[in-house]
Amino acid sequence: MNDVSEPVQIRVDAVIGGPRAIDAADGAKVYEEVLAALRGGRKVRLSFDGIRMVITAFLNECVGKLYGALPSERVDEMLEVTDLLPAFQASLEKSIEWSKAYYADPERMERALREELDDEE
Amino acid sequence: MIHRLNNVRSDLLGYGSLALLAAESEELRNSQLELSFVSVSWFDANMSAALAAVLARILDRYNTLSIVDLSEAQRSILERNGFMSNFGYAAPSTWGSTIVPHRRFERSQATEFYEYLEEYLPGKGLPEMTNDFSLRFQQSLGEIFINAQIHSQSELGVFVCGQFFPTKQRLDITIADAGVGIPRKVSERFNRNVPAVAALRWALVEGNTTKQGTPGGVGLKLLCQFVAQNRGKLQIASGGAFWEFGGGPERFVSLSDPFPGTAVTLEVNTADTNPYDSDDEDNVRKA
Repeated sequence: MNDVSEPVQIRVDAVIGGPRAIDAADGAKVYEEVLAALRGGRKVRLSFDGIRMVITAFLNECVGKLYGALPSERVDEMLEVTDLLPAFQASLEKSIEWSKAYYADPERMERALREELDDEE
Repeated sequence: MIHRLNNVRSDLLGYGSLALLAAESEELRNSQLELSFVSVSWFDANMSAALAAVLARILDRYNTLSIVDLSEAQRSILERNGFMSNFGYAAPSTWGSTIVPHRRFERSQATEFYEYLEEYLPGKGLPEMTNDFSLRFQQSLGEIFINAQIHSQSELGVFVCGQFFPTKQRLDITIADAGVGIPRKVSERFNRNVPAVAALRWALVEGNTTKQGTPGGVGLKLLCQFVAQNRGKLQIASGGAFWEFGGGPERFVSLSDPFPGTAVTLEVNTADTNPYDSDDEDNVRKA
């Protein structure tokens, strides 16, 4: 029997079938698996072991979108990202930061554009 | 029709020259374009990627193309980097030590793009980098490719070409698509007519994205910081807007004629002997 107090481990390379996390569509597949486990009340350990390239669009899909589906605090508490190469840690942090900002205030980007246009006038 | 191309360097005038070709041939359909190099005294080999994006749109309208009046030197350059193999010439059997080959990638070929970087960037004068920084550098180039792939809404592909100029001590890499361009994407996103320069300025702010219903944004921060330290350049031409960072104050300029898609050029100063590293905040530093 599975111990439900133990995190579910999801290996990114197993879900996407390769060492490069560079396709947003692949990110969406990972997102579906992670979201299902989180919604089932399980903690998730998302492992990037074996992944040697990661792009922001992938992280936005597989991690960032979680902040739109569940409360931020719950994602932060229930999701642990492991084995990500140090080179890509900053991209993950940026993706989480942008995603939280996006879902907290979806109108922010339009406001920024209006400000940009005001500055031009 | 005959179009006499002007000089094409990796600069505002070079993009303007390609945009003029696009504008003058805009109405051409089921016809023939003769692209003359008679007025060209300089063509940066890497800009063949941007030229290919312009020509892809023209050819997509069922036109035929002939490239004429090439000097021997121009023909040699464009043959050696593989550009001319798109127009009936044999592809080179080997690539010279200064060439990052001209290549057209399908939208689904992100993996092949990374393999291409791994195969052709080494030995082209890039400054020494720590392993982490090298990964981030390749990641940043890939982000540009993926952005073109995702947002261009074009099936015509993504065109890439680079050239190492040992005597000028620079390595230029251009990634171009024949898509709708950033200004139009921004206008569509907000359902209003956004001036091209304002749209590009907005799109370059970290975290801003034209994707709807999902977070996004691709940072150019690492490349900008690298370029600032390296004294290189980063340029984007997209629709009616041109942006350049490095080599002077950052500048946004309106193009007289819109570039039909998006092209990004990274210029690396290969005279830079400083090794590069980055910290967890993506700040670039000389190691």
